[in-house]
Amino acid sequence: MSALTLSLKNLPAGRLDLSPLMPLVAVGDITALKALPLQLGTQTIPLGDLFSVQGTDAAQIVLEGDLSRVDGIGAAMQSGSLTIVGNAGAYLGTGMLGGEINVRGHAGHFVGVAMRKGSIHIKGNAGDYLGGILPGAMQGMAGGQIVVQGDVGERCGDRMRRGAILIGGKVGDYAGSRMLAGTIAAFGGAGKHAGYGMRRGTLLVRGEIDIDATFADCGEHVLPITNLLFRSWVKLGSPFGDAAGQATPVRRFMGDRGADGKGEILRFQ
Amino acid sequence: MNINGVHIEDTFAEAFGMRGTRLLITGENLKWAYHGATALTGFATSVIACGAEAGIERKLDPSETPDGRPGASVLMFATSSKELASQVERRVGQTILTCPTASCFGGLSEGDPIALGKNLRYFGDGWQASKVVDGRRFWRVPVMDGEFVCEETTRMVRAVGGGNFLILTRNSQDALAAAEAAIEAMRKVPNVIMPFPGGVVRSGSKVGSRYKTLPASTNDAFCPTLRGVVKSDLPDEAGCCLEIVIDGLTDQDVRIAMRVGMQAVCARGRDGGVIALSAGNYGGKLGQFHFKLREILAEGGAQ
Repeated sequence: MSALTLSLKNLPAGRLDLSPLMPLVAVGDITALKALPLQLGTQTIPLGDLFSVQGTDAAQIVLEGDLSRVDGIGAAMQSGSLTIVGNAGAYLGTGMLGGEINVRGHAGHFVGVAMRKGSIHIKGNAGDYLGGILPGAMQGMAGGQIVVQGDVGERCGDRMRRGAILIGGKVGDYAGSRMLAGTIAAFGGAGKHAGYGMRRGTLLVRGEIDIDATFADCGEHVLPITNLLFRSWVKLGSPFGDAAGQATPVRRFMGDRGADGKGEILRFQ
Repeated sequence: MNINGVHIEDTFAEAFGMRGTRLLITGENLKWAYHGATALTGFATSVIACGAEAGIERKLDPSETPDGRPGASVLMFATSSKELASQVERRVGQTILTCPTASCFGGLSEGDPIALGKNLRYFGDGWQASKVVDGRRFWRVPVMDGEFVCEETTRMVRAVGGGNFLILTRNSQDALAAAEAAIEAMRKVPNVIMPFPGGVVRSGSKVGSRYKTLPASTNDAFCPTLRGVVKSDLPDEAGCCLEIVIDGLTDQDVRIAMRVGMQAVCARGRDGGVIALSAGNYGGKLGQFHFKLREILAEGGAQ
């Protein structure tokens, strides 16, 4: 069986919501795929009018074309693999429950919000609120792993509860804001107000970062736990596993003292 | 059966079902990993009064440990799952938590999880934090040299304790030399430990005693100084007897260790003062595992 491949033919103005795709795939009824009604702005259009469909193996799905205006790709995904050959829009992997998503280009805002399991790998950059929350929810990302090789926008990991976010480049302002637990690692520095309102969890940052006054400097240490983390990231390649096997000193700042204050920013070079 | 002048008694070792686990102890360097592992396995020769039987299985290279530091692999056995869980927590809490730079990880991938750092974390008085790495949860407890890192659980499996053989020699010097040769060979076998001092025990026991309070007492049939007054099992030439006790994760592991050890003893032969090999049992009624010496030696091809 060849991979189920959806190629975007042309996309009229407006944003397309592709979130119904994975629930349909999960029940295994891909014959109804072409008739699947999708929301494009205010109109409803069958999937077959927008995508050409080839292949039958729904365990490995490939999306082709510039999907930067296509939102909700891989939402509620449970298993298998999904490859986006190009850019992805907003809400990529929303509420994901398993499987893996690979994006060869960039991704928009709200990647992996309310995600619970599985992995997302983005070769380019990603927007704001990565691993964050859905409106009205109390917790953001609650498991799984998001790897972004480029830069990430603001409020990354907002109210994150569990899991890991790894960023090869720089993470924007308010990284780990209101974070409850979990791990965010950025290997190209961080913007302003990192860890704002953070209760627990770890922000591991290599390079430049401004530390807010609500974080307490706990000194420089070599922590065994960072080695466990770095070693587990070796398989992701550079820069994630670069420090594995070395005694890397980290500067530990505990905070946000304006919140619960049990979180930490670990800065290293 | 006779190998290299050593008589192999037609008898068997009687062993018991136990619960076992493997712990990996790492440290800043091998020296400190071993300080921790040695303390962890101290006073753990026999479940009769120690609560657990434990020993260092082998040295671990940095490439084999979860945190990439040098370490030691430890096996620990107890008579019940409850007792093993209690012993693991008490021993790790008093010896690895306390040992500078040491960390502790579970070393088995199968079996039922029992608490390792799950309750020890409360030593952190609210400052403890956990991290999940590749699906395994590790606790970080602040201590005076930094952080004590300990996996939340370790796995417990059904194991075998009490495999053994007796080395009967002309004198004490020959017995020590033969026992040391056996232990050196047996330490290379994975999944087993020999929990007694230097791997060797001199106070083999029989069930019962003339004193009501003692459940076990000296194995007088193998005591050379009593040969004239009790029904002795010692051959005329034998002036000393030492026992090697083996605990293993499976009965096959114990068999292999017994064979390797007995072969090493037989290699010293009659010229090395070895008279015979025997084994300790309780008539076969108490233990669920019977290791027949002749059968085990025949399996490996007698030398």
